Amino acid sequence: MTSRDARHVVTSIGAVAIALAIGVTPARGQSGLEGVIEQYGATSIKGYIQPLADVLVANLSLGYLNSAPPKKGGISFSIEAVAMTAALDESLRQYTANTPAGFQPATFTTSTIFGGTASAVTHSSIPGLSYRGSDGLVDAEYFPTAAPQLRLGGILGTEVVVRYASSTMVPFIEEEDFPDLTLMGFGLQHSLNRYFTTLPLEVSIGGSYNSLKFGDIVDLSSTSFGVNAGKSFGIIGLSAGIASEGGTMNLAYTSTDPTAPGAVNIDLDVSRSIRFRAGGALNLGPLKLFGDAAFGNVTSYAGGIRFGF
Amino acid sequence: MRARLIKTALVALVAMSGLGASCFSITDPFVVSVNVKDIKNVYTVTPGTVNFDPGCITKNSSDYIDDQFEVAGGGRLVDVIVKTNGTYNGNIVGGQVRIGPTQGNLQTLVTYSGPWTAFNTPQSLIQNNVTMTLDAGGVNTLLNLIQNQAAIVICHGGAFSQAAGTGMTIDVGIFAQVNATP
Repeated sequence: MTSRDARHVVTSIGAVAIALAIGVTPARGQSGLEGVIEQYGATSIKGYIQPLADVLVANLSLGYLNSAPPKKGGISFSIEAVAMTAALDESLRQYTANTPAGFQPATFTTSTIFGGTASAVTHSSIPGLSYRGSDGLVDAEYFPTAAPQLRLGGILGTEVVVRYASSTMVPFIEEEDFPDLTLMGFGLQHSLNRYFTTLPLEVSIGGSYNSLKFGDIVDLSSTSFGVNAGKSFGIIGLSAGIASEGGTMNLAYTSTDPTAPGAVNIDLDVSRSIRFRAGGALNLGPLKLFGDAAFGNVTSYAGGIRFGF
Repeated sequence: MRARLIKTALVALVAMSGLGASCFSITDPFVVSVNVKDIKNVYTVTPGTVNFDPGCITKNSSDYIDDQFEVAGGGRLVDVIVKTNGTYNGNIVGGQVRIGPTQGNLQTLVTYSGPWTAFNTPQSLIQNNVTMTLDAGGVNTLLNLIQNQAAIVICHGGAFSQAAGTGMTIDVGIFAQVNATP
């Protein structure tokens, strides 16, 4: 396999994993995700789709810091494949939805995008009237995401990470059947040991920015910044840190909800939250294997492989 | 030691990949509560009449369900909305919306009455300050037609307390859902 082939495979895997994760149905002109979103108005879509924004932000914030922070040294370069997955607990599966204005009861509990079969509610005093949400699109215990990325290090104690994946790189899916999906990310990690040379651990600060666009409907951006500390023990590297993560998912579509029809353009806020992460890495010369776990409002894990020098 | 670590790490990586793939799937069948669209019309009242029977319209399945969806049964009526447009000082008496597969086979879905001006603000089964009554037979007929993706004939009629004026129209809208898969 040539390096060009390898890059193509990695980007394809990344794009397909994300596409599958958010519900693309390649054989049809419109995905399941788009089909269900259009049934909701601007206010009613939030509860259904918010968990997707939450787990995407949690997943995409991982994978940038996967080892002890950079030391002083020469330039380094590597190509990586990183997979992340978020645990879908019960709080991400159900939400309290509003029924149409005037309907009694005014609220009911139904499925989010991760919630399985939806429930219906019957009007409390008018027999013959009922209302139902849509089923959860994703049937999973964990929600995966994947990305290929490039890492450049050793620049004044700083590492730069760039990730990119696009559905246009997937050769076996016809473009007209596959809503365009693009993931871009950028991360920075800067060593503080350059300034505090007596620190017993390797300490760094870092941040990342991610952008995920799916078709003309979903446009998610997220940021993360925090502090990381680690130490190497031979071929084993251990690290831990704390990060603040948040983001916004913009939805732009045309609603078919009779109570709120027409163009919808809303931002779903992923509230900034603090998460703790811990990880380990095996440094095997040009090859590195790494794993991470992050704990907070969403628990997520990452694992990957790095090849470089 | 080093070889064992490498082997263990690679096995763990492969195991994680397999776990991720096996634990993730798209819900099958994935049922969307599709909003049945455009089962509505604007009926024009003929000036000078007391009884109004402005007519019927026919909605084919292609009018009310996008062809990207495959109906999977399980329809629901959520609401019926009536709105009047124009100026009139009298009342609507015995207004009704009838539903059926043909004009010769109709069931009453909703009856309503009240001051014309009250209906200038949309009145519905679930939000009203007039009298609106749902008929179970009409609900069953409507849901059967939607679930079978059949043509729906919607007729509208009733009476006024005094002769109608000019520029009077009545909007009737039906909010229904049907289970469908994309």
